[in-house]
Amino acid sequence: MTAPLTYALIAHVLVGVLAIGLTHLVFMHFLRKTPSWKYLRSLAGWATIGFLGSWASGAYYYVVYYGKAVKPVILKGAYPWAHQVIMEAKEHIFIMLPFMSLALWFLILVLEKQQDDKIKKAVRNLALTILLFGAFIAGAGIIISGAARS
Amino acid sequence: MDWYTILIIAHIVGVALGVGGATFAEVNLVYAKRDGEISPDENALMQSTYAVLRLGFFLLVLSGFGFLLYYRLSGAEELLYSSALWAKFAVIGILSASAVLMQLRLIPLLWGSAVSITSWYAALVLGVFARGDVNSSYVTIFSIYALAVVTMYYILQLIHKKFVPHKEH
Amino acid sequence: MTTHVRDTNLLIRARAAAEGTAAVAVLITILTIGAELWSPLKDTLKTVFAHHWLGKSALAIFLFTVIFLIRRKTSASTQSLERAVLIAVWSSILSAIMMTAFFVVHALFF
Repeated sequence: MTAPLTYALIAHVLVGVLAIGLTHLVFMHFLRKTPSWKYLRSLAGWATIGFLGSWASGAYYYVVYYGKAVKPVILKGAYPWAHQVIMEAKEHIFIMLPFMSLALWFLILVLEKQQDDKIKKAVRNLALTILLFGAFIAGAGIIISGAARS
Repeated sequence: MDWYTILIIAHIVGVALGVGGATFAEVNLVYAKRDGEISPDENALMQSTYAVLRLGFFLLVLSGFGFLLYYRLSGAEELLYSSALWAKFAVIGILSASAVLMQLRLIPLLWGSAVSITSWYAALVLGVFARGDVNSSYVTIFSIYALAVVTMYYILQLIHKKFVPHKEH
Repeated sequence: MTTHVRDTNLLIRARAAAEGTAAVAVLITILTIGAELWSPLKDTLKTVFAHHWLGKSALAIFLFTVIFLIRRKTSASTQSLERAVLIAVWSSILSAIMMTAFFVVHALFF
């Protein structure tokens, strides 16, 4: 693996985990009686940027390297389902995350102007869904990496 | 200093802050409830403890993923399928879920506290075993963890009964 | 009773973003399962975008942007925003379940 590919993989994982962590902070802070909307807006904004960064770096690694160097190893190994199911699900579910995060950011902007209970509930559900997807994607990444052994 | 050493230090700091934070969160809670009410100062102290605990958690998770990347990039992928490691992931997942449920007031405080403290100490112990030195199955590890949570619940109940005024129960 | 937000542009944009998100979820499901079942689709994505996954990503960005720009021209209320977010959440969840289930079946039987 070349240095740029190594950095791309590292960036994809760490920036993605940071984005999930920021979304977790959004969710937990949001549950307070009097959340700081400015703080929430900042967290959600950075989470969206994080997901976009993880998407871009992951795309580079996936398109340039994974298909020709990692996927064949997994398919020939003891855990081919790590690609056939886990990676296939992960790479497609991930695409939805940046848009969900962007929608969350817009919703927080709305709530900053007016606190509506129904929109608050919608925000809570959206943040929770992003978190669940993020947890699945992070776990999937570990399974896939673990299967990539010759 | 190589990356592995940096990750070890970051992970240890995260665990120290988290385990210490979780321990002191309970100590502070019992201490604050001794006179039957939680004063603003006591509440502020607990909030700062929770902040340190959260910092520890994020440091732990971030450095943890750093380790996973290290294993991947250094050819030690088999460690990623260690049963102790996956038990640790599950414990951390339960810890996160418990924090959410406590915030939503969907689980009793004592159970939340029991899960929190047990999970932090379990994460510490499992982190030592995750390098592959122990071959216990996931089910065995999880059974011990579940038993530890229940045991901790009854220990905390005893502590609260002894130090916290009866009307609080 | 409809509650009007002072900054209605913000409400409209939030709803447009939620609708764009729902549309992306539907698109990704169709493209993903469609490309696996019908190879000309996968081949076309590969030919146009150099990689099928890049094609899905690019089309998702395109669709989200189009929906966002078009829906910004229509009025919104807190009710329509709440509904849009509910649809976005559920379409994302259903999309994830359908795609995962598809790949499980695909790996087991094909």
